Amino acid sequence: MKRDLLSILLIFILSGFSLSISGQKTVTGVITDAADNTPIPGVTVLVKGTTIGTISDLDGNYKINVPEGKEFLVFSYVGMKTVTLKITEDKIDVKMAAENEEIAEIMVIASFAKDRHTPVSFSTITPDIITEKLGTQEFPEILKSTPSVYATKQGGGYGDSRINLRGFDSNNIGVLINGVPVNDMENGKVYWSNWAGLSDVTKTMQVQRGLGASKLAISSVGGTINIITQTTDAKQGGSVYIATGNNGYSKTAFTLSTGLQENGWAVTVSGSKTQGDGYVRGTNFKGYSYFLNISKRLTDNQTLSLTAFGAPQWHNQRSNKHYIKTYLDHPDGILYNSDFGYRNGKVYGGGYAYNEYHKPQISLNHSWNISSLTSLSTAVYLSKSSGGGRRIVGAQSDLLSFQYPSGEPTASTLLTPDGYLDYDSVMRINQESLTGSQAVVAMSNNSHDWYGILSTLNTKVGDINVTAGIDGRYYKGYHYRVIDDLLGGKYYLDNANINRDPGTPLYKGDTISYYNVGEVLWGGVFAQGEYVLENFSAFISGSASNSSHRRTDLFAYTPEEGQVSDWQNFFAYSGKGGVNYNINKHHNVFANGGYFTRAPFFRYAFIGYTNTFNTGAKHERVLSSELGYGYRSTKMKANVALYRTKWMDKALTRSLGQEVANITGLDALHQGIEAELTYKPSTKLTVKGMLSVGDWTWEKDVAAAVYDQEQNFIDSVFIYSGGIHVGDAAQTTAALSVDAEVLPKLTLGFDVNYYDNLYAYFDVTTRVNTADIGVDAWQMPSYTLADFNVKYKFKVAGLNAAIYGKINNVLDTEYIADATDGANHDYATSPVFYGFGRTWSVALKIRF
Amino acid sequence: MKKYIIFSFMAGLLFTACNPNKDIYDAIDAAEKPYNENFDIELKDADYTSIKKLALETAQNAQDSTIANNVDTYKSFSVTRSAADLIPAFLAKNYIALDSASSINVKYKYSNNEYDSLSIITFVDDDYTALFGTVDTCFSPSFEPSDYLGTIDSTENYLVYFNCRYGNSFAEAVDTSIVYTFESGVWTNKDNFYILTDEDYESMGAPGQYHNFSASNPPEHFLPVFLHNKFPYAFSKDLVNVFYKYYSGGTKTMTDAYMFDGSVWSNTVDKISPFINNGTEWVFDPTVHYTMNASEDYQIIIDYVANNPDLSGYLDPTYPETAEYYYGASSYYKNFYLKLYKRRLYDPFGLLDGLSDEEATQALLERINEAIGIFLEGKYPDAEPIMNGVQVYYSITYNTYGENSVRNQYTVVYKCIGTGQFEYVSGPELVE
Repeated sequence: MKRDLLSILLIFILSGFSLSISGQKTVTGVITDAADNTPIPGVTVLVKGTTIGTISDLDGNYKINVPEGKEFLVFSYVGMKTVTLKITEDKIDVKMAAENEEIAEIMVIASFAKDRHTPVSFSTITPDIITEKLGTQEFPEILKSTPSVYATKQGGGYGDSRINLRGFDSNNIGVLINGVPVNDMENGKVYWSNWAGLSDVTKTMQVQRGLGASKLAISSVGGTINIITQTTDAKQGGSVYIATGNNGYSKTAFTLSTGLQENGWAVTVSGSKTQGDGYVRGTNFKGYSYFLNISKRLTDNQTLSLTAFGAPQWHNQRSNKHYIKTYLDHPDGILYNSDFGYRNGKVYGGGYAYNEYHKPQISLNHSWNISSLTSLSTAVYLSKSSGGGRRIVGAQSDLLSFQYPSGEPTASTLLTPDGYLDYDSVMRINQESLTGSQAVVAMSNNSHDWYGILSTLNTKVGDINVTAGIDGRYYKGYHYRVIDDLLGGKYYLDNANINRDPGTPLYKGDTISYYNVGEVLWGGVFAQGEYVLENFSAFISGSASNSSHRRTDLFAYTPEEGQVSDWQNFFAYSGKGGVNYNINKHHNVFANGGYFTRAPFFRYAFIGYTNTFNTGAKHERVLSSELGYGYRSTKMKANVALYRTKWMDKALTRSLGQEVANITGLDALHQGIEAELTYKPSTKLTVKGMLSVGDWTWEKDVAAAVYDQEQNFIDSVFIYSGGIHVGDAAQTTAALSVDAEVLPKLTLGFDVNYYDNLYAYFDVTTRVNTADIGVDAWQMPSYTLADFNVKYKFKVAGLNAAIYGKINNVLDTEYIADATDGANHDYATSPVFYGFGRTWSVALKIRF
Repeated sequence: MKKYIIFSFMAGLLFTACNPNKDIYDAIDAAEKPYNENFDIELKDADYTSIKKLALETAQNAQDSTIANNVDTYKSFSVTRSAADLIPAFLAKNYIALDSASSINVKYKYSNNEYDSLSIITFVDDDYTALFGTVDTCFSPSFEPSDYLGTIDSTENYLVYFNCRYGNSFAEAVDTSIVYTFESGVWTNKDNFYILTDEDYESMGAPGQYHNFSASNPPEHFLPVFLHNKFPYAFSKDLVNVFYKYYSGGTKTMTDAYMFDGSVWSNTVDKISPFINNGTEWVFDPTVHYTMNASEDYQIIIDYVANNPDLSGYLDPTYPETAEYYYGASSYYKNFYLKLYKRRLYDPFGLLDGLSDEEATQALLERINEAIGIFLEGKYPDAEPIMNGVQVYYSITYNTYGENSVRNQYTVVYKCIGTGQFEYVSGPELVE
């Protein structure tokens, strides 16, 4: 009785006294999953045409007061089809089905984690969060309020951002798009500029910290970022989107869906164009993105869908960090960019300051429910990419270059009186030279082709859910440099190609400096067994893979010598397991642990830039474990996790005379605690908090004696890494956010992020100076940032529309986001990138 | 209501967000524009007057005032008029914008005259009566003027020009002028004095008219030639304190020191002293800073090893002229070689046997201290221990090439304890 009164009171308050007391009725019911009849907590129940709403409890029960004259209830939940029901009785039970079988299938392939079931730490980002909170930020920055994440824009160019998870950088984070790993095959990195259009087409995104749930042999040392793109929407219609923002930012996008037609076909297409001048000087850009999904239901049990997406872009960049004093002394302040000049009145980025890239990815997904217990999902995909970055090359390339890593000019850097790269003077020098151009503009291209297949079989054997599959890929990466602009000279001379007379005059389009091809042939198998009881689930999974590497070098070897190396094979394996126990409907605990080995990356598999095998190249190894706790109630969700990841034998090679030494023992230990809380007292208010405290250090010094083949001692190698904090990521982060619907249809959001315990980036393998033993890299100042967003829903010409406003760094805080450790480990010798000041954007989205 | 509380809490939180880089910006501002320069100056006559005025402002007693005035009178510094003490105030006033790490080499005149004040005692009849009881007496070998002087108050470096009757007996006594100084508690008869006689003045021409010098006949003009004629066989660095009469509204007896530099006599020498601004004040710093970057530097050590029969076994067998392994000097690579593999290999005395790598490296670095001493003796054979009353140190930086192919620099400090002689003080210290 009291509870009913309380509920009525609550609803009164929430609806702002706009209800009349009489003529109401109360509707209750249970909401279950159509697939397995389990109750669904957290489903939003709204009275259509009002702002009256409630949420289902842990048992799937809901209760809502419906005013007179209102006829429909709307039930919605992420990943499920929204249900609208006419109110015919006081008790209405609802069955909800997965929004889209295909999404469900992809989520299975991608090993999307399920709450209170999958024993891993994860955070899920829904598309409305992306629309409301992303603004003009880089895609990885959407994760900044989740634990153990440090994402920055680096130099600030479009797509030049990076993300570290639990202190590990991108070559230790697995990134999957629709279940397909997209880390670079040669070095494991992820270049977010390839995926600049991803924010427009993301359906949902999940970051799984630590080992994660993926069964594939991916190197999830820090974690896995799992991105699912849109597939066909059951609904016909679409949307248009227009946005404008600071520094000339503008974006237009559209989506069109046919919806699922009776003949079983469904097509969705979307496209966007984004451009702007960039917040930092000289970082203008333009990018397009396109997305196509064609789906056909072949039979009741089989669907086939083709997805193609890509994001061609070009952008000018800032690549040189500078000393703090350099920024303070420069009129442009923190917007200062040394890396460009003007040609023909337009911004022209110099070396490492212009990038263009297009990486289309096409995949064909087939999902087949073979029986009620068995399903097979297969994805066959290919990607052919092209593009590269601008470089300044030549005998006098210093004329247009800066020193690394200090960012200071070289002895011969030519700058105009205003401080821009002086292309005109260099062109004059080239014109007068009698030996061809002394400095030219070239593009360092990294094109690659890859073809792959990923096939997963899910079945049930007795009480155990068994998954098994194969993952194969062929990758070929072309790395070469091409003259783009002779900068006024008549020709260019390059002696890097042993198969070409060094006196050959070279022109635009000719290849210089290097031309090599890396091939990786990868084959892996994986399997998982999952044992599920009512309150308990446990899994064990393992994978084994063989990666074969081959290198071709067209410049350093003659065809007679042989330009193609043999195949070098590496075997790697992984094993992990976890358990989740739901103590009761509120509490659950989980634990997971695993071990995996990783084959050496391409550059360690071959010695220097040659076709010679580094026969002693060692595998890196990771041992990780995690303990977690979750609390769920109707209004509150809390997660706490403790993790411990040990990364062993980080690749360390030294060339000593004729020998190459592969040294083991360089280990890092990343451990910490993560906590997340979401408090939703009503549908109109959400409060979230996050705290992660990490202790990430390099474990001990490395002392190795190196011998030659005859066991003669050559030299000893010491790396004084012991006890040094891992750099380049904030070890303590915290976030607090409040989202409130302050007026009907008007929502305000406020996010505060705090970063601390942040040490500058340094290469641990260069810690050879005894004077630096135990000395940490420069500890950068901690900082707090605040963002604000607003959403207003309205109708225009009968169509649903919304306006989104976003201000990032509301207080215009000046802060240092990235730094490279200097000789004295202090601010005076460590060059930095500042983060952005206040930026804003306003967008309009109309759905039809 | 709840939302307003939460919003205002977050607003409060943001006050901590204001300026994360505040400490760094404050530090940069504080260190901003330490304007520094390095150059040479030469003090002109007017500058000595300025220095006198500045010194008078800070004079604590009569002695300080006298010193200050003498700077202007003599337009030079000396052992009593210390350049190290007097010049800093002048630099601080004239180069007010210069800040830490600036250095100025100041060229000034230095007088060897140790005696700024001269006491003239002339014994007259009353004095003899008072001392001896009679007028008919004189000073003699049995009662020297120094014995008399011993009875009166005196201060260190006091110069007395004593006029009296002196002889073996009263009958043989003649009027004599003798010069005494009070040094180390004893009155001594200085022998490097010369008292100009009337004939001397006449021999110089114009001064002979009144047997004195004056403004129109300055002693600096005549004495160099006179002394050259008087002491034609003088050696370089010979010093003579000349006593002469000077007329300026009355005749005074004055003294000045003249030194022979090998070709001329002069009463002052030019000296250049380095002054450094340490951030708060100017200080005289005679420390010699030298970095061993030339092959000749390391060659000094290699030659020493080669010429030492005990150590010649440590010469590099392949390159005995340019490398040795006792100290590790290499004149080809211009550094000290510290890689243990080779040092242990070429160690005929087995000095590194049984030592761990860390101990061996430490031992080698300590051995280099000795090498630096050898280097200093070879490079600065004429080094003097004291300059302007300040002890001179030598701070030598050298290059090393060691384990892990790491290149470092270390600094060792030595003290000059005698002409061309040095003593180890501290080091090695790694240069950051």
